Order: sequence, then structure tokens, then C-alpha cells
Amino acid sequence: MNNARFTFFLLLLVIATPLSSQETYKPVNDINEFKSRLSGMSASTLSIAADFVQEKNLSVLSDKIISKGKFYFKKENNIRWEYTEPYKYLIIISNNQLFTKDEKGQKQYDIQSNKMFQEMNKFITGCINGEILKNTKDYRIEYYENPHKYYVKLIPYSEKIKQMLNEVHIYFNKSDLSVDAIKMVEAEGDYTKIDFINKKMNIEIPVEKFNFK
Amino acid sequence: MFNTLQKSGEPTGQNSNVVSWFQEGHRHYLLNTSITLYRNRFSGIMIIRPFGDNHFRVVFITEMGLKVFDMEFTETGNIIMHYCMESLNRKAVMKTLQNDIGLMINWRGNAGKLTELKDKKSGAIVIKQKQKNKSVFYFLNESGKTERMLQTGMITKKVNLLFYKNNQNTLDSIKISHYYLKLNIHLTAINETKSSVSE
Repeated sequence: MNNARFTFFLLLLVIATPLSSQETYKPVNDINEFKSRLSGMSASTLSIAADFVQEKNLSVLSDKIISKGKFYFKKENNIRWEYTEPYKYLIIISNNQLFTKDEKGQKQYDIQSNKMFQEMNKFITGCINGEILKNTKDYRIEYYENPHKYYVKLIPYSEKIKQMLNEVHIYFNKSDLSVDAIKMVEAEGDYTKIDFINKKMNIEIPVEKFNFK
Repeated sequence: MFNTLQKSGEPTGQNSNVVSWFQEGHRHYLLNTSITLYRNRFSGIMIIRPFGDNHFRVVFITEMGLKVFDMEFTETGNIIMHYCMESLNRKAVMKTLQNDIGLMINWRGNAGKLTELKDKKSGAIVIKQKQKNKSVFYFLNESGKTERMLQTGMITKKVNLLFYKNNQNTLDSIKISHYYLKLNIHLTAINETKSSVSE
């Protein structure tokens, strides 16, 4: 399998997985105001630490597969995505390097080494700083809201991407515009949903969290 | 190929002596999976759902939930590919994976009759299953579950599978290796009720 592409889609998953509410949403009245608030929030966010719960829903299974872990972000481009239950898996992005580690080994990639990694990095940081919402070339973007959340639906134009990922839903908390959840929906309706809980903004995160060793 | 094996003289029913590690009635099995092909290594989670003693659905996803492939092994001897990520969708790769996974779950497919053999030295029972131009040898433990499985061609060994159990007598891990292909697959059962990892 093409390593770069495989890793790219791993990372797509990192970025794109929240949702949780069955509440009714209506189209956002003032999209520019939402974007402007998001941009302000992004500028003032220096770090994020959160727990996450990932839910994999496959139509073939009667139960969801639940995994849990911890997420850390530190400006500019430092991300640590760590699964702790029921398996151990770690992804770190820092200093233009991508690092993955599981129970059997580890791998490191230079993000600048190929276009795929660069696109991946752009996608990830774009989701964090909101720049992804400017990418109307690659996604049709729809904005919805309810009294508590903004819900942004990204629909890839590329048919190739759509075979794997039909839609990405990002849910923002209206009070502080942090990401509450991401849901990634596959072509057949199976999905991965990630809820972020116990979020702590702008706390001190040791730089060691983004070291590879 | 096996000088120490001889026919046991006992009659053998269709697969009656070989018990799959993946039993119907269990909601699903999760296996932490590492696939090493030449110098490339990929990891993910293998999900196995048995629908019957010869009907299985096997889905492979990345740790982060992205589906890599989804295949069904039917009771009528067919393998249905429900999905395969484009970058992996190469005929030779998929055929090899289907073969290995089919062996692992003890899917009988269109396999032929079974012959019971006995190891002259140890007295252990070995079941031989004849396929088209291949044979599969099942080395069983005391409960009839496979400890080792060996797939051979006409004259050479092809694939070796080793099954390890834990203290509860359930599956702990599986190692699959090929004799003429640098492909190794290592799967470890995930306990969903208790974290299998620690800091």
C-alpha cells in the first residue's frame, strides 16, 4: 500500500471526527460572523488538551467499537493523538515530522518529503485553525446551527476521496467555538465519530509531549 | 513433506475435528494487527464477525477508524469484497490476504475432504484437508482447536499459522508467515472490557 496515502487518510481521521447531538439544526444566518469568531478564537488558542472517545459504527456489527485516549495541540503545529484503550496507538506531528507508534513498532516521516504529507498537514492544521473552511475548491461546505452548536458539513468534490470519505461533520461549541466532535461518514454510511471531552484551553503542555522518543 | 505422519485409520467427518477460534454466538472479535510486507509495515484493527460456523465478515480498519477493506466469506464458498481502499486493491495482494484470513478463521470454502493422520513419534492427531492444488494440515490441541496450520502446495510449504491461547483458554494471538513471500501478519486479541495496554 502506498505509505503516504495510507498515512494521509489516517490523519484525515484524526482531524475529522466529531458529532454527537441529534438536535435539530438550521442553516447559519450569518456565516461571516461565525467565520470571524472562529478566526478570533483560533488566534487566541495557544494550546488544547482533551480526552476523546472514538466510536466506530459498522453496519455489519451490532455494537459500536469504542476507543479512548488523549489529544494535545500546541501552537504552531504540534499535535499529539494518543489512544490508550482498548489498544495503544500514538500519532505525533511536530517540526514537519509525522511520527506513529503502536505496540509493535514506530515510524517517522518527513512531511516535506512529498506532496501527500504536505496536503495532509495542511488539512490537519486547517481544521484546527479554521482555515479549512476557506477551502471551497476541494469541499462543498454547509453551515448549520442550533442554540448550542455550530455544525459544519464538508463534502469532498473529489470522487476518489468520496469513495472513502463521503462527508466530514465538525461540531463547534457555540460558547467558545472549540471542536466538540467530528464525524467522518463513509460512502456506505458507516462512520467514525470522535467526541472531545474535558477540554482545557491554553494550559501549559510540556514540549516533551511532542517528542518522538 | 511429513515423513512422520501416517493415516490414523479413524474415520473423519467433514471438518468435525477442527474447531475455529472464531465461534458463532460471539458478537465480534477485535485483533490488533500488524502486517509486514517486505520493508513496509502497516497496522490496524481486524474485526471478525462470525454469522455461522462457515460464514464470516472480516473488516480491517486503521486505529483511527478508517476502513481499509471489508470482505465476507460465505457459506456457499464465495468471497465477497464489500470494500477495499483503492491503494490496496491489487489482485495479488487481495488474493493473498483472502487466503490467509480464510485459513485463520477456518473458513472451509470449497475445500475437499478431510483425512485424519497420526504423528508416529508423538501420537498427535493431524487433520489434512485437500484443496485444489493445495493441502492444509491442522495441528490440533486437546480441545480440537488449531495450534498450528500449514498450507502446502504440491511439493512446497506455503503458509504457516501459529495460534496462541491465553490463560482463559481463549485466543491470545496469531502469527502468519509465508515461506516464499516476505509477508508476515501478527494479530493480538483485544480485550474490549479491559485495556490491553499499559503505560
